[in-house]
Parts: sequence; C-alpha cells; structure tokens
Amino acid sequence: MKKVQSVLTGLLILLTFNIAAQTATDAKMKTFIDALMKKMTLQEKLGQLNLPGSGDIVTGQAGNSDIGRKIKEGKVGGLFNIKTVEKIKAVQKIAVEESRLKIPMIFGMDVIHGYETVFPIPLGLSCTWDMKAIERSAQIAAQEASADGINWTFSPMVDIARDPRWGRIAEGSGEDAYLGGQIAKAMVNGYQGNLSKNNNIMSCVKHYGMYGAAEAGRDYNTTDMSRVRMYNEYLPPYKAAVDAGAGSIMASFNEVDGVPATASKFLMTDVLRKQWGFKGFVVTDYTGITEMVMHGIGDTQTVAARALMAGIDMDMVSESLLNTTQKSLKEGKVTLAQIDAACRRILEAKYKLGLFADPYRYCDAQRAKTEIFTDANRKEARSIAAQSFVLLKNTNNILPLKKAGTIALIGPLADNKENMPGTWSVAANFSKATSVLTGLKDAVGDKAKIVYAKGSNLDYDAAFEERAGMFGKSLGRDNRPPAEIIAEAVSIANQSDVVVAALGESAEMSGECSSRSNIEIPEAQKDLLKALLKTGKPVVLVLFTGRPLALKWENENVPAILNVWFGGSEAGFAIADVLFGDVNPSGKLSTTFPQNVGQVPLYYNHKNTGRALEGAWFQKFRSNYLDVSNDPVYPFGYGLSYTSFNYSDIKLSSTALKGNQTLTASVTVTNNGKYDGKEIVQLYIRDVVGSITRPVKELKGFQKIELKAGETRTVSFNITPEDLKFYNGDLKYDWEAGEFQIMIGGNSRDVKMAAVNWNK
Amino acid sequence: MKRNFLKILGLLFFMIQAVNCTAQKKTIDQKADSVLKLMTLEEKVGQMNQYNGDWAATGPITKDGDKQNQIREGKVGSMLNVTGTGHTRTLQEIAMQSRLKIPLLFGQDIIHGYRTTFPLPLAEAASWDLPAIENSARIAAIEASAAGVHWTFAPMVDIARDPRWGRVMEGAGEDTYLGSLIATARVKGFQGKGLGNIDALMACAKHFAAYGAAVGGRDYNSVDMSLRQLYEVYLPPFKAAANAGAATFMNSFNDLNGIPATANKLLQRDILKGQWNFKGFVVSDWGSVGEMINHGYAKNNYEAAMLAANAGSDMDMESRSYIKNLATLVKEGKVKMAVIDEAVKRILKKKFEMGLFDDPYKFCNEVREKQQWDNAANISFSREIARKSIVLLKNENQILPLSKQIKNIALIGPMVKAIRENLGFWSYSWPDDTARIVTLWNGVQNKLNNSTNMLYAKGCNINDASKDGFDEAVTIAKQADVVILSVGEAPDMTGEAKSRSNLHLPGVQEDLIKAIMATGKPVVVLISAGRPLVFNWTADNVPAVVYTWWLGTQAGNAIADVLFGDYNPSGRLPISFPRAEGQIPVYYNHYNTGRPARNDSDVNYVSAYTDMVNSPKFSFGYGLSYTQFKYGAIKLNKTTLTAGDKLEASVIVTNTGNYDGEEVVQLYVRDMVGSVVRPVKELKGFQKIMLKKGESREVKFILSVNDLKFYNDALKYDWEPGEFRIMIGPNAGNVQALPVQWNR
Repeated sequence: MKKVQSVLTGLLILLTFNIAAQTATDAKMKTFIDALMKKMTLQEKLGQLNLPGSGDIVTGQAGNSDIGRKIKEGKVGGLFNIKTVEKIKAVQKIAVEESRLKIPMIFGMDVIHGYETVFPIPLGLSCTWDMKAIERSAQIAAQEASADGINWTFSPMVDIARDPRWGRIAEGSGEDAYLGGQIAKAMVNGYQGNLSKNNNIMSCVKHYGMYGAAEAGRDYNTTDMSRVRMYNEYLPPYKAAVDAGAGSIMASFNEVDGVPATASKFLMTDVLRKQWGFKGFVVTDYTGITEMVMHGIGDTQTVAARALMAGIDMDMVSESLLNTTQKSLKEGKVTLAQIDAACRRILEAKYKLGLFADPYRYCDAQRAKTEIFTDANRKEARSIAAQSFVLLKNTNNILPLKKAGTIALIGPLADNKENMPGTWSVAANFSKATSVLTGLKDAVGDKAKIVYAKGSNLDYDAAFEERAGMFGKSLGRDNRPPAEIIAEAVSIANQSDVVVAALGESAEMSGECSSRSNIEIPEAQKDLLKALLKTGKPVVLVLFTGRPLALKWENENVPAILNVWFGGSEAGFAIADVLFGDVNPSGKLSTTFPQNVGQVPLYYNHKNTGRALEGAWFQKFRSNYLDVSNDPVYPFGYGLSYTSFNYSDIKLSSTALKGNQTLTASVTVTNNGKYDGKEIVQLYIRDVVGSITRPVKELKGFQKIELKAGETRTVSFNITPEDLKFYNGDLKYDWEAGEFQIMIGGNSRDVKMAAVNWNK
Repeated sequence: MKRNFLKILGLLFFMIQAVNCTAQKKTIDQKADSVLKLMTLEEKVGQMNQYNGDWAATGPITKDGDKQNQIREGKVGSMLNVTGTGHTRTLQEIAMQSRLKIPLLFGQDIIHGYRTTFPLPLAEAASWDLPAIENSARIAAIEASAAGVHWTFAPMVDIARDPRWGRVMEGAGEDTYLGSLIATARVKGFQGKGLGNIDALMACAKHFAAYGAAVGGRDYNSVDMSLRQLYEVYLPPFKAAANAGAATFMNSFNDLNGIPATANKLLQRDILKGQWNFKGFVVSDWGSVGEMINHGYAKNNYEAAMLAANAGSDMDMESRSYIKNLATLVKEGKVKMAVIDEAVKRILKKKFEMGLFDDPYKFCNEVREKQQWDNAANISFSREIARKSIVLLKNENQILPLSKQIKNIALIGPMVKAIRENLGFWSYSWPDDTARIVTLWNGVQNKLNNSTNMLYAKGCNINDASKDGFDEAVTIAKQADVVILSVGEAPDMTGEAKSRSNLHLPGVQEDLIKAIMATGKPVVVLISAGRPLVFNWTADNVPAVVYTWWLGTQAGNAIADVLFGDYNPSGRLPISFPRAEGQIPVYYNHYNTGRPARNDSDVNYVSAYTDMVNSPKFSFGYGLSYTQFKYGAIKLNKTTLTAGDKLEASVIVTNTGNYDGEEVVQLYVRDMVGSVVRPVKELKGFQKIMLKKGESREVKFILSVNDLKFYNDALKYDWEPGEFRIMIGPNAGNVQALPVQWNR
C-alpha cells in the first residue's frame, strides 16, 4: 500500500514537473515569438504561410533560382519534397543568412511508410495490429528522413475508408475508427517522439476531414454525411492524432456538407481548435485553396480569404495567401488577428523543431551516410512486413512450403523490384528493393529449385497497364500473345511440385487518384490463375494489392492465399520468411473484403436496420440483395495462422454493473495447432438499445499474444463506461445505461458473446 | 320587381351557400372535436391502429378472426389490403356495430393502376408528361375508389440515385425538380377534385424520408446524410406533395442519421407538421414502429410506441405497438393526452373530409364498381401512357420503325410471350389476366396482316444458365428479315426488398443477343426492367435498343405502336444509366469537386477512375425519336439582371427529320459560385413539344430568382447573386450554355 502510494506520489511529482517544464518552455517560446513577430512586416508574416512548390533545385544554384529569390524576400515559410542534406542546407542558408529576419524554413516530405527503408503500405501495416511495430516503423522513417535533412512528414494518413474502389485506402488504416485511432497515435509518437532529438520529425495528420468517404470511391469526390456519423465514425482517428500531440494537420481536398474542407470553419476552428484544443498548424493539401475556385465557392482572392478565416495556416503550392491576403485585409475580408495567429503557429512549429536554435539541426551530412537504409533498419522492415501479411486461406495446410523440390514462381509481380515498395514511396531506391524471386532464392539456397515464368501481363489493356506502372514502376510489357505467355508458365508449373502465383495489383493501381470501378484481379491474371489451377499442382496465391479486392472466385478455387499488400523494400525476403514458415503469419484484416463491387460499402460496424437479415440469405422483406448475400468474403479482423487457436466461452466479472465500475471479460485461448504462433484477440461491444441507432458491434480492444504450440493463456479485457461512450443525437459524448453485448473472438464474425446490464 | 325578386332570391341563395361553406369548413374541425370528446382513451388509440386484411385470401379477413372483434370494439381505425365493394362493406358493417360507429378507412397500395395497370412509376416518369402522369393516377383512383378503396399508399416520391435499390422502380428517378412536379401531378391525380368526391382517393406521400438513399442500395438499410443534402435533394418532392394537398404521409423504414424515420421528430414534427404546416396524418410503414426494436432504438414495443407517437407518427400499421401500449403510456404520463388527441383528430378529420361519417358505405357502390371494370377509356389511356414511357436508346441506320409489310419477323427472347410479367411489381393479379393483358406477341400480331410470317423462339429463360434454346433461336433468326429480341429482368427483380448487386442482364440473355447478332440479321433489342441496367455490349453492338420497362395491361400494343411507327417514341430517362456497378452512384447533378475531369480521357490527378470514365452510359434526360431535332442558339432577353427581373431564355427547335415527333426541351441552370458548392447543373424547366416534320418552334423558358434558390449552410432557402450558366438541350449530357449575371 505504502509502496503504491510512493509510486503515485512520484508519478504526481513527475507529472507536475513535466507540466511546469512545459509551461516554462511555452513561456520562453512565447517571449521569443512575440519579439520576432513585432519585427515582422505583413509581407513577412504572409511569407511564413507560404509553402511553395520548390521544383528541382539544382545543387549550387539555389541562390539564383526563383525560389531562392523568394526566400531572400522572406516570402517562403518552408519547402517540401526536396531532399538531401546538401540541397536543404543550401536553401536554409539563404533563409537564415540572406532574408531580413533570418527565419529558418521547415522542410516537409511525403514520408508515408518509411523513407529509403520502406515498410509495408499503411493498409498493410495496420494489419499487424502491433502498435509497437507501427510506432517503430514511423520512428525509423523519421530517423532516415531527418538524416536526409527533412523535419516534417505529411503522415499519418488516418482517413477511415469503407470503399475499396478508393485508391487511397492503401494509405490509411482501414475501416475502423478505434483501430485507426490507435494507429494514428502510434504513428504520431513514432515520428515525433517528444520532438527533442534531431531524429524526430513533425507529423502531419491527414486528410482532415472525411476524405475517405469520397462518393463512389472516386478520389477527390464529394463527401456528405451527418454530423453524428462524422463524430462517431470518421473524426476519432484525427482526434487521436491530435491528442497524441501531432504538430500539424492537413486539410482535405473534398467538400463536406457543401463546404470544401479547406474553407470549413466548422472543421478547422470549431472542432479542431475549440473542441479538441489543437495547438499546431493547419496546412492545405497541395493547391487545396485555389481548387476551391473549381469547387465553385469563389475567385482566388475569395477562396484564399475563406481558407484563412476558416483556420488554414499554411498554403501549399497555390501561393494565393501570399498574393491576395494584403488586398483582402484592406477590404476587410480577413483580419490581422487571423494572419498573426496563423503566422505564430508556424513559427511555433519551427521553434518546437529547434530550428531557431539551430537551423541546420537536421543537416548532419554524416548521419545521411550512417543512418539510412541500414542493415538494422532493413531487418526491422523485413520483420514488420512479414507481420503485415494476412493468410486468407490455407486448405490442407499447403503452407508453409518445404524448402525442397521444385517450386514454380509465376506471375507478373514475381520478378519485379520496383513495385514492392508500393504507392507513396517517394524516397525509395527501387533498385535496392527485393523481388519475390530474389527472396525465395535467398531462402532456399541450394535446398530447392526455383523456376520462374511471368505467365501474364498485368492487364490485357496495355494503356491501362501503362497508367498502372507510372513513377518508374513498369512491370515490363510482354508483347507475345497471351496464350503463349500462359503456356510457358503452365509448362513450368507442370515440372514443379508446387506453384507460387505472385500476382494482383501493381503498386500504382492504388494510391492517390488510383480509384478503380472494378475491384477484381485483372482478367489477364485471372486467366493465368485458372490455367495454373488446371495443372492440378498445388497453387499458392501470393496476392499483391493496395485495397480489399473481390476474391469470391479465388476463395472458392485457390487452395492457399497469402495477401502480402506491398511489403516495402524487404518484401521479397519477408514473403519467403512466411511462405517457408520461418515466420508464422499473424496479420488480420483492417478492412472488409466484399464479394463483389455491388456490395460496396460493406463494413463490419454497420447498423442493424429494422429488417436485419437473421439466419440464412435470402429472405423476403429483409435487408438483403437478391443475388448476393450480405456476407463479405473475409470479414474485418480476419486472418489465419499456420497454427490454430481455440477460444473458450467468455467469463465476466459481473453481469450487472453500475456507474464507473470496471467489467473484466476474459477468454482462454489455446494454441491447438502444431506451430508457435501469434493471435490477435479482439473485443467487440454492442450497445443494444441507444438514443440513436448503434452499430451491431464495435471494436473496443485487442491484444496480440504469442502462444507456443499447445499453450493456453487467459486474455482479459477491462471495460469501463468510457468504452461505452458515443456521440448522441446532440453530439454529446456519453454512455447510456442498458444492455450491452460483450463479444470476443479472432475476427469480427466469429465471436463468443455474453451480455451485461450496465446501469447509471 | 319580379326581376328584383329573382335577384334577391339569387343573392339569398348565394348567401346561404356561402354560409354553408364556412359552416361546413368549421364543422369538420368541430365535428372531429365533438367526436373526440365522446371517445374513451382506448377508442382514441383504436383510431391510431391499422390492420392488414389478408388481401390475398378470399374473404376480407380470414386468418385472424380477432381483428373483426377488435373492429367491433372500436380498436381499429383503418384496414389495408381490403378491396372490393363487398369486402369493404362487410367490414364497415362491423365498424358500425362499434359504440361510436366511427367508419373505417380502407387503404391499399394503388401504385400504378388497379384493374387497369399503367407503366411502373419510374417508366411513367420517363414520359415527362405531367398531364398524362396525373391522368394515370386519376384513373387508378377512379377504379380503386369504385372498388371500395379510400386511400392509396402512393405516390412514392423518394429520390433514388442508386439503381441497385429495387424500389427505384416505384419513384420518379434521380431528380428533385422533376420528382417534385411528378409528386404534385400524382397527388392531384389521386385526389381529383378533392377529398369528398366519390372518385377521390386519399394520397399518401412516402417514404418520409430519404428512404432511397439506403447504404449499398440495399433495401431497408441505414441512411446517412447532411441536413443540407436532405433539404436540398431529398425533401423537396415531399414538400411538393404536401403543398399539393396530400392527405397523408407514410414514414420510412430506414434510420436517418441514427434515428429511425418512424420516431424522427425532426422529420415529422419539426419539418412536416411544423415548417410545412401539414394538416393530414402520418401512417407508419408496415410494422415500422415495432421494427425500431431491431434498429436498437427501442427496447420493446412499449418504448417503440412511445417514441413513435411522440415523434408524430399518427397511425401504426400492423405492428400493434400502439394498440397494446399507448393507453398505458398515457396513463403513465409517457405520452401526453394532447399527443393522442392531435393524432386522432387528424385521422377523424380525414374521415369527415372523405364523407364517411355521412355515409360509411359511400364507396361501396357495386354499380359503379362494375362500370369502372375494364372501362374502355381507361384501357385506351393505359396504351397511350405506356407508349409515352418507352425510351428509344439507339436507332442506328434508322432500323426503326419497322415496315408493316415486312415478310418475316422473328420475335425472340424470354419476354416475348410473357403475360403477367408486363404488369411489373406492385400490381394486382386477376383470374382473367391471360385474356386481358396484351403481350408483345399479341401487340405485334395486331399490327400485321396475314402476309407477314411471325416466327418465335424463347431462346432462354430470364435467369438461368441454360443455352439449350440458342440453336433454335438462331435458326429462327436466320429465317427472318428482322429480329425483335425481348430481354430483361424478371418483374420481381425490382420492387420492395428487391435489391441487386449485379445490374447486368440476368442469366445468359446477353449471350443470346450475341448469338443472334452473329446471324447478321438486323436486330432490335427491347429491354424490360424496373431500373437502369448495365448492358454495354448490347448498347455498343446492337443497332436498335428500346427500353420498355414494365408497361402494364397494354404493354404489347404500346411497344408495337412504337416498333411500327404508329407512335414516335418520346420518352426520356428520368435517371442516369451507369456503365458499371462500380460507378454507382452516378447522377447528373453532382458537384464539380476541386479537381473535375475535363472530359472522359482526363485522368491524371483529377476525380476519375483508372479503369472507367465518369460519364454515364446514358444521361439523365436522354432519349431518341424517329425524327431529329436541331437546336438553334440560345437567345436571352438580357445577360445582366437584378432581383426583380425575369430572364427569358429561348431556342428555336426544328424537326429536321422525316417524322412528326415530340421533343422534351430541357433547361438546366448552374450557379457558378455559391456560399456552398452547387451542382454542375440542375433541371429547372422542360417543355414537351410536338413538331411536325420540318416545323420550327421557339421554346421559351422564363426564370426568376425563385428558380435560383437553394439551402445554404445555415439551411436558409435563398438565392445568391453572381454568375449563372443557362443551359438548354435534349438531355443533361448534351446542352449549350450561356452565362448571365444576376445581381441583387
């Protein structure tokens, strides 16, 4: 008891000290910035709000470039997508030596899932459900990026996405607000640490808000939803990132309720600053301000003024704040207070990054040599990649493969390095990425023979394939007739013991502006797959994708499917690790995989409706389709292991609770298979009756545990009323007394259930 | 003197009339109050209770004899699915045995006709012919009211942008403006010269509200949208129906932003009965009060009844939540007596207005029932509106119309000899359907004399995998000079709880089309469906494609009228046809976004798919004629206007083809800059005109600032000055445009 008390006291002292220290730092920062801003002209203040496109700065020529001139004039607050210490140092030098007030610039970049050491695409990363691993990936990304001069990343992307047509689903953490919130926090912590070291970088949460709800899954399209849905289903990950201390946030391209996010005072000020207490700064997404002319809410000056007054602080690329705000101020369309507030937030960010103390803090040329793409970083990337793979099917335990005999590796993605890092890997060195072929050969050494054939092109349509291979990620078009390419593969398959088919999407089939109306594996590859299955050889589908695909046919016909997303620079090694059982797969889906595109949107935490389908599809006058059941092919949270896990029934500490009591719900999980393995035990809750309709289940907790073969462990979740809270019809965040269903299982579909009554 | 006397007499008569009129108006209100005063709480709750009459059974109520007792005890205010003068009389007689002898209201789904079936509502919307649509509702009301029905659960005015949703067939499509006009026409049609007339049905605008926006196009699914979208897109047709005097509203099954419509106070109390000052009553949809338990919004029927009644649902259809719980709820103070009184008074007033208190058997006239049975004028009108609903999608090389002198004509496909299918969903079966419904085969036969050889092959079924009939069909096709291929959905693939995830032609029908096309014969494909389907191969390869929906009793004659040119098709799509399921929702009045694609090949960093263009296969407003229309340049009376001005926009339209024909000239407006983003175009007017071949006519639209209004961020309905683009053309995908500046 005494011990507990002293620990508590200690904690309290530490906390107080921290707060005091924080306050002291804040006060110091305020004094510094107050003094600086007193010296600034209006033009210089507006310069801080400007984040122009830098173009390619030729080494040694920075001073003479157009951008160099602007920097000298104090018209640039920062630059983005410029890298290397040499280049960054050169332009920073202009700012701190040649501009009047010598204010250093901030340097941003799209460091989305790693820097030169590339981790899995974020959607894949989210399937690890491993917050430490995710945080570590961001930490390593920050380390490498900062070693190359960068101190700000446009990440994490935390947009909830329920529509697999949308290409940018690849860039986020899937469909769930709770999991998304946890990951948002891990990413922010990973990038930023406490911003005290020169290998921490500032994060930028994006795309605020609701960008993932683009109508028809078409990028940049309109979003529309009720406030209550926003607060409960889309805003939580942004809020989690803000709560974690994210230094900046990016406004999204889309409009929400008829107002482009970039001009939404509701989002940028009322919610973000007033309700959440966000202290960082808001940057637009690219030309988000001037794009509002196309949205149809005004000319350049009008939209720039609306953006500023809504709460936008920094203008990426459009330069409209720089060019129109003085006029708007004269005309009374903006206030000086708003300009000052924006300028101050940007200066604060620079202060927090330590740039006023040392503008070259991130310009250590030595670090660039020793901290980027290191063996240690690559090793971690390989391990995290293997954790992100999701085993979707494994009939008759075809997997893991033996390192023996002849293995046919077939498919357009089998011998390709460029696509392994996936979309948004701007700092990747493709030539250093590992292909599946290399990974497999490396794994088997001389124990087995690996034979390869391409088998098909990515797509029958050459023009589509070209679009899907942009940014130097071409798969190389084979211009022979398709039948000939397939025949070659079939003949190789016939000579082998097992076939590994590496196919699916290319990296750029998902990502920004890569929406698809068809979410199946391209027909050319489906035809290849059919031909391979016809050989009668066991076929393992190693599936590359940046989105949930419609895999109804594959699930019915292919014996083993391993979804590998785009695993990063070490993808080939990681794939071999899992295929041969050196790593037992443990990833679980963070999105629902529909049966067909006509089912979209399909997500696990839907409402029940008044006429829910109970029992088997089809039922008359129930909410179902005539031609497809309501089930996904693979539900949220789903993923297999080489071993199997058995769940006991749920044990509850109580079934009648009151007020702030804690409910403990536990299950015993047993590894009853033949391999050691990891399982992600998931807790879902349903609020049976609410003052608004509530989802049929909501993820409220999970634990990733490792069990040796034959081992049993009890997994407990502590639940408090905090876990029952939601935003009601008046947008008040609270819980309501009544019945709750507590569900625990290995995915959102297969759960054990117990009910409790929780009174106020 | 004598003349003066007559004058005075006349004046007196007039005065008495006037007094009578006001007296009567007052009396209905007062009479309702006086009845209300006599009622016990249980009797009041009874008025709020509606039961089903097990319509399919031979008698009015057979399954549940208890319902009759409850009527006798004053526990039932209305019955649905009881028709025929005999059945309604039987039940009304039981009601007359109740203590207060309050007559029952008989409601029925009279959706697109009763004995005479008209095209599906979506198909009728394709006529863009408001008087015809009104008349269709009028005839339905005449026939149904003659058969004892008082009240129809129509019109369905839900805007629908998702063709997966099966009930898209029951509405007027995707557009708010067209939908509002059609809502008005249908309400007027059903209610005729007003309630109290012998041939007026009470209309019921449904489903309030936003039912058509079901997630995933899956019926009954949740709906979520901003209030601005609700006001802007989904509510106006309801408002139009209320303004047109719709006697009742039906709430919807869905939850809207987390609150089931049935217990949605915002919808029912604040908007409908508040802002719109609606005087009728609101009935729940079937069981929707009780279904709030499934929604997770009510713990049990007791709570459900409380929530629904307090939110303004006046009558409970079939869930029995009201009859079992409302009295207790009042006694326990959970529902105020004032809520009950208000609901009951709304219901009683309608019964008075219908004249049922004066004569409960007013609609039980067997003679009138017989007169309206197979009334020739009604049938003839059915043919007229059916052919107006047909949309000609493609007619390469003027393959249509066909000559009646043709030697050999093959009719192939699963719909050729289909009979009852022609009525579509929400229609009534009668024992003599086989004799009375005109099939496609019959319709074509009626056009041709003995010198034409009519050939037939079914080819395949609608929805199975068998191609066994292909060989026969190909053989038949080879013998013909022209092939009419009739394919489509089964009629029960649209309608309530009839959502589809796959919108392609079911089964092997498109393969059949390919097989017939391979014969090299000229082919005309007719597509029967209750929704936009996806049939890209057919649209790209078959020379003539005609969308025939489900057209009702006279379907075959109407289609034949079009095929042989006795009627020049004039239908225009009231909804966009997507190219793929993956494009949904696709609708013409979308926003521009910040990165609009400039055209179908513009894909880089604009809002587009990598594998699919943005445009629909067929645009909203699209449809061909056998003749051609040329549009002159738009003429404006001025290009700078101020608030009080009227803008006159006109074009000269010329029939340059070889047939007389009708054109639907469409006016769209775009508000270029708004305080909120505005659609790329919005229909604001249209005129359906008949032009003789070679004839020219000026078509003029007059716009005022009222046509520019929208709901802004604060949900205020107003217009904003600035630039507007005035667009006129034959469809939403093909317009010419001129800008105007409209200042305050």
